[in-house]
Amino acid sequence: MPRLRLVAFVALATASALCVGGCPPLPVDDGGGPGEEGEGEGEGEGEGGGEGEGEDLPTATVALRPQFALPADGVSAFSISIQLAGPHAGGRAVTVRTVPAGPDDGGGTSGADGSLVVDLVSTIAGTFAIEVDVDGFVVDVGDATVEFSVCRSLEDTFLVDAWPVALSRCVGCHNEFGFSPSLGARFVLPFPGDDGFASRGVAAVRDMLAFTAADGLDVDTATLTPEQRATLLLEDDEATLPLMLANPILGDITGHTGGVVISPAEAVEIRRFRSFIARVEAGADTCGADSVNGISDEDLVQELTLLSPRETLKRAALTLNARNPSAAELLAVTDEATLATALDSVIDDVRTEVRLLEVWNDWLLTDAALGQAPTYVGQSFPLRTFFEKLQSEGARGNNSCNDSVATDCCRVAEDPLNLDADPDNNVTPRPENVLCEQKRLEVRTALAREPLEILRRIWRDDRPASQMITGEFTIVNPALARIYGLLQGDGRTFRDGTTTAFNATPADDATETRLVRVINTAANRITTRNASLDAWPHQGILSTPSWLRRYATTTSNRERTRARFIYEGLLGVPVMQLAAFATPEIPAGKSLENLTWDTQPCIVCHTLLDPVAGTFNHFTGSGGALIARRPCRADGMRAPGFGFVALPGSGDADEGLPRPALDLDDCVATGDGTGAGANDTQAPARLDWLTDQVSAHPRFAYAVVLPLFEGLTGAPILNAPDSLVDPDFTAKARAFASQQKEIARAVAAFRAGNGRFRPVVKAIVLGASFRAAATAGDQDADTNRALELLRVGDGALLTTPEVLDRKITALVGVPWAHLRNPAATNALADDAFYSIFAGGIDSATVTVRSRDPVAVRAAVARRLGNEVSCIAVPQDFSIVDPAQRRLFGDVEMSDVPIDADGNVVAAADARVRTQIRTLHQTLWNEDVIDEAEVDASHALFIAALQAYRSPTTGTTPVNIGATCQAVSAFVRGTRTPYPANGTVVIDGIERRRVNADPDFVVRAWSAVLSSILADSRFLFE
Amino acid sequence: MHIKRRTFLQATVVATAAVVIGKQARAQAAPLPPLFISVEANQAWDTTTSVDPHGNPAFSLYTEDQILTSGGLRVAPFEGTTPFSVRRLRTADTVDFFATFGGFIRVVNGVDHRTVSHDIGPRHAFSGSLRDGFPALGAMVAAVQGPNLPLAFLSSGGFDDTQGIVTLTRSGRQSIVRELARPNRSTGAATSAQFFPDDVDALVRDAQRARDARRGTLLDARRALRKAVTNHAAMASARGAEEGFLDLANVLDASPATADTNTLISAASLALAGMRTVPAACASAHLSFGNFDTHFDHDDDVTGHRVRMRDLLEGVGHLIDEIENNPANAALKARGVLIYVSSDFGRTAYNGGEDDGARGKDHWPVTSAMVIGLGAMRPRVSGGTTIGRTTPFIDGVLQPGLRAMPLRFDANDNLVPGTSPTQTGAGLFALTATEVNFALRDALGLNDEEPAAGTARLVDRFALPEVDAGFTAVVAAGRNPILNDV
Repeated sequence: MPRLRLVAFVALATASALCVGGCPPLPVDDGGGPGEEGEGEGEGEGEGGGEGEGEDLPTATVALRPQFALPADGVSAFSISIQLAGPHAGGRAVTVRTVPAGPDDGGGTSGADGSLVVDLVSTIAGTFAIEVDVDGFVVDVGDATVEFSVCRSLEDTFLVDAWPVALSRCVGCHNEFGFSPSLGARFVLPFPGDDGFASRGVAAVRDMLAFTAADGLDVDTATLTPEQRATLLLEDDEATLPLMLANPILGDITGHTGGVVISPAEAVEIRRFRSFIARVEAGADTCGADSVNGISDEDLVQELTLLSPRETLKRAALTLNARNPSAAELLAVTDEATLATALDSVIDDVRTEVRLLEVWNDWLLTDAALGQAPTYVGQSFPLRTFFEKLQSEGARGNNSCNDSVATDCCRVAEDPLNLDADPDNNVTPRPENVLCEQKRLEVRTALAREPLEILRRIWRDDRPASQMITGEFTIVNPALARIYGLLQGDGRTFRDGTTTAFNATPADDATETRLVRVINTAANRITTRNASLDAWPHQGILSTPSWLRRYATTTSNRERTRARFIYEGLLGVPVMQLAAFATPEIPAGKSLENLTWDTQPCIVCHTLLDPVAGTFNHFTGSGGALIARRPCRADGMRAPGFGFVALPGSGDADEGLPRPALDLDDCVATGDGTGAGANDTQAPARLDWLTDQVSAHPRFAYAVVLPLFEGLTGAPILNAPDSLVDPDFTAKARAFASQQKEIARAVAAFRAGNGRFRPVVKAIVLGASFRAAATAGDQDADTNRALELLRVGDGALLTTPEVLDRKITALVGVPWAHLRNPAATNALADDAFYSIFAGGIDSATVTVRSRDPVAVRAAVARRLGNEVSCIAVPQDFSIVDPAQRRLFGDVEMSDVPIDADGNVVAAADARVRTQIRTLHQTLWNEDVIDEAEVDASHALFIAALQAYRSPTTGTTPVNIGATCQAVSAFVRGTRTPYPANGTVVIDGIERRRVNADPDFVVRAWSAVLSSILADSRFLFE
Repeated sequence: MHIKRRTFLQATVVATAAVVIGKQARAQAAPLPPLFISVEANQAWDTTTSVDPHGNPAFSLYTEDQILTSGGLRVAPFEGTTPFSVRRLRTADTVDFFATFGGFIRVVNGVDHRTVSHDIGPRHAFSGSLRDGFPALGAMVAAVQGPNLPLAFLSSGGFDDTQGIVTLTRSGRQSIVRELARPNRSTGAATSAQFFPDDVDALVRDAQRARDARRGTLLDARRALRKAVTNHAAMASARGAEEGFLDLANVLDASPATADTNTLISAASLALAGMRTVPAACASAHLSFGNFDTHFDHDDDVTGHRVRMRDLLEGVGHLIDEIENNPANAALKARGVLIYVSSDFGRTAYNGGEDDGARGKDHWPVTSAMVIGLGAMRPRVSGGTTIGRTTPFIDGVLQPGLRAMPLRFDANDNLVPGTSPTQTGAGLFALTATEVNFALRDALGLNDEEPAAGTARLVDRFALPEVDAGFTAVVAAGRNPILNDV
């Protein structure tokens, strides 16, 4: 591990007695020359008496030592110990400075014994003269040379230092979409996630420095006051100050539009920013060619050992498919190449879709609509009158159903679909009740899940990911197709005559889908509402009522919420972090709406948001489609567009040309159907233009990767830290830098895969964040903390409740139905039961998952163990053929390992042990069986058996408790009973009743299984 | 005269000791800080509907002379001159909310949340900071008072960011809590059949504990990444909280089930149950309620804003009534509870309506808060009073939203409003959610935290920036201007 090597330090000083004014200067004596070189901790010391002007003059001994044992990060903290001796040594004000400015200044007051320790931090290498100022008397105590044998490159210094400390504050305006370029400013910074983020950032700084110097824009330091010079740490010989430094620090003087961004009081931030600027100006790393073991690639991945190829396959199969890989699959994986091949099967497994939809819902949160009755405002939703028939009483609109009366929704007079001989006539009543309360739920579910179904289709068909916003289609099942007016009277055949009809099996209606355009039909009257449209203006997920409702708009919001999603969700631009958003300076009487046009800080974000918001002109309200174009907004909104390109067809004079964002939307009331006239109701939808721009933007790839990265690894996307007082600052900065590199690898896979999801998923699974197993060696505290912040590691996070639910069903063989009622939804799959307690979300009020243990999750684990084992063990033993059992293929109920006298029955005992190994292997996914754990499970089995045989009170009943007995099939729907005598074949499996347990073996196995299922190895990912 | 908090608490301890001295040689009870419940009115409430009435047609349907004085507060009517009427579950009746409970409430009007963003507003309201990276006040209370309690910080949603200082438990139905609290019972009922007899259940638990210990050793030996090590340790520790959960289940059994259609009442009931166990299983709760984002249909008779406000007040009334008047909560009352009700921000005057929808109100940064001290907290809170003021005018010109009057301290350190929203001068400052949180932190004992060696107090680690200097000085002097009047 590279270490700081501190070279050359000694200090000697003498100090005269303290006196106010008139005291002689302190003599300089550097006797001693270079001190000892330090290896490892790199200590150097020097001391000396030095001569003073009087015998009672205090002397000073100064020693320099690094604070960290391994300051291998390009930031060196070291301590200067000052010992003043003599009659006036105590209570002296001491300041330590370095010249030239490099390490930070420091100081304090000497203690009664004359001692003082001053800690300095240096982010740059070099030789510095150290000055000790004692009550105004300055002594040059010699030089210190700081070298970093570990050299951090300019790019990594940008990532870990310059960006968090300073430049992250500038990017709010100085970004490609932002306010600064709208004013013609040259300085544009990249966002994290931009290709070559760090090198582009360095390049931008370098370019700006050269430009302002060449054009004479740098500040003449002679014009600065002494206080300003001190703030900026200017040396006497610095004639000019780069504008890049002056603007953010002295912005109120330089006329910086953004004002002061780095407060003059933030001395450490200023120093570190200056250090970075100095390095960029120097044109090369100051680390230089003498660097030993230089690390120019901050990447914590190097500190990790990864899961082996087989272990990776196991984790992938469990995470994505909720299953264990088969023995054959595992045998086929011997190296990275075979792993990559094996992963294709895992990724292509249909169960991966289920997992990915959960991940994408974590991003979209559109499942919030599952629990809500969608409401549609106005007449804009084309099928509003149909949809409202299915709502409960009190929903907005006319003719609402009353679901307290089950048939009310199907009132003959109110039947909305009128599926009689005249299917397009909404007036004639229909005798049959075809839409009842159960259908209401189907429609609500289909509407809510429409965006996710689009994503599922894109995944399944391996379509370009961009189709999720550019696709001119949607995915419908029979319920949704009906509500969109696409079906004939039979409810299965499409009116367009080309789309394949749904099958005649209603049982699979929830999952049988078709890819369609919602064309105009007599049942939905799209064209009636807007003559220019012959179909719904599809734009993938962005035109679905579910998404539009989740990201609703109002008269004041004006689609900005939707614009924000465009930036944050589809471009990875953190809009809400671009400016310090506060309203303390609202001018009296000023409308908030106009602030977005001309008042800081509102314009910083609204420069980006408003043009994009304008492209949503055809959608409004809470999910409805405004078929008619919204009238122009002449005040407070920038013209529709993206970046600095106006929306084509908007009628704007600068259409299609780059333009400053400050131009007003000059929509003219032409009323001729072609322009942006206030009376124009025929303009076509233009969201398609926006989605083409967005999907083609390089940041789209980054944004697409982020939810998959976070969802599959469990690691939250990190921001760079922005506060130096945060004790975790350096660790956070390193973690941020490393994670950005991990994400960049996945983005590269996306691009190499022609913009498809599959390569991304594969790259993430093969990446270090997914495969992190352990640390590669001993780490310093800082590195350990950085790794902890990355939240990676095998067994680090609790499995999500959804994955755990599927894992139970797949591995144990029975679902964890709430309170063991197979007709109920599963306990972990419903936020009315345990899913929220187990860290899940409801997409509405609880939108962030919890993957860390808390007391209630331990309680969930206990109940899981007890309740699932109660059902699973008897049900598994009910299968007559051991080879068909999921769990207990190695034993029978008659295998009792100890006799009545407590003696071991060898054969049965051996089978019990074998069975335990199988359970551990299956449920804990263990290759190498930990025999200590086998012993423990075995000991539990025996102890439980004996406890049942000899209970502390009473006698143990022969029969298993009624709640756990296997007397019928544990399935939804028809629960075929197991006969009291004999067997029954159900779905090809011969089963028997298991209720009697005279040897208590079944119950002892339940105890063992309970402890296995509640263990961390089953619960953690 | 005002009493410094520490003096007050010491007096309490002495009083307590005097009571029990006949039974015990010495009562060495250490004073416990109050418990905390924050209530978040989701998506920005309109306080002209309730505690900050203005009888101006641009803002309200009622007139000035219809404004009520009730419970010591000046409040809006529900409709016409009809007050807000809410159910009182404990006594199965219906009461005038403000007349019954107003005396407990300290209204703070004219709080500037300095934002109209639904992301930032709740953060400012419930952490005191506009910036990201600050935990909710409830999380700080739980972290100081009981980070290892079974339900240390309970939340039903809204702004409940913990910044990792304490674990968050999501609130849920009481029946579910009982089921989880009794994992060996077939249902949540204490008398339902057991999966395992007690001795076998104990064997399973012992085996699990031993497993956890071995796994921890194994992870260390494997040099597992720190997150895996710490989370495994957390899981092992979390398993030890079972008794606290069982206490909670027993408390729930003893209390009437309150699964109400009013979700705030249901969530509040669970929080109260967690707090009334001895020791408390829950130190703080954040209860999120409703959706007040009435950009349209603000005055709808069924779904409009005042209907939602009534439901919110009903839940708040339930909390007050239960703590003050239900003997089952005597321990809780003796401990003291501070309740803080706020929202993202406020709302504007009426807008013009959208499409064919009815008119509504949009976002506005100035709003109000309610602070309620109950039980042992009560003497510190001058309920039935209002501080801060707003006006819909500046120099006679109607504003888009309510303007806050700046505040200053009088000679007795009471807050008094200025005469105009634009008034400036010595000592005047704008009251924001930052100051409110600053005062609440002090009232909740967070400034008295004694952190472990080498660590900082949470109030220092998450120091609120830009608190008015005069306000800081008054609080530091032992006065709490949000909670107390002289």
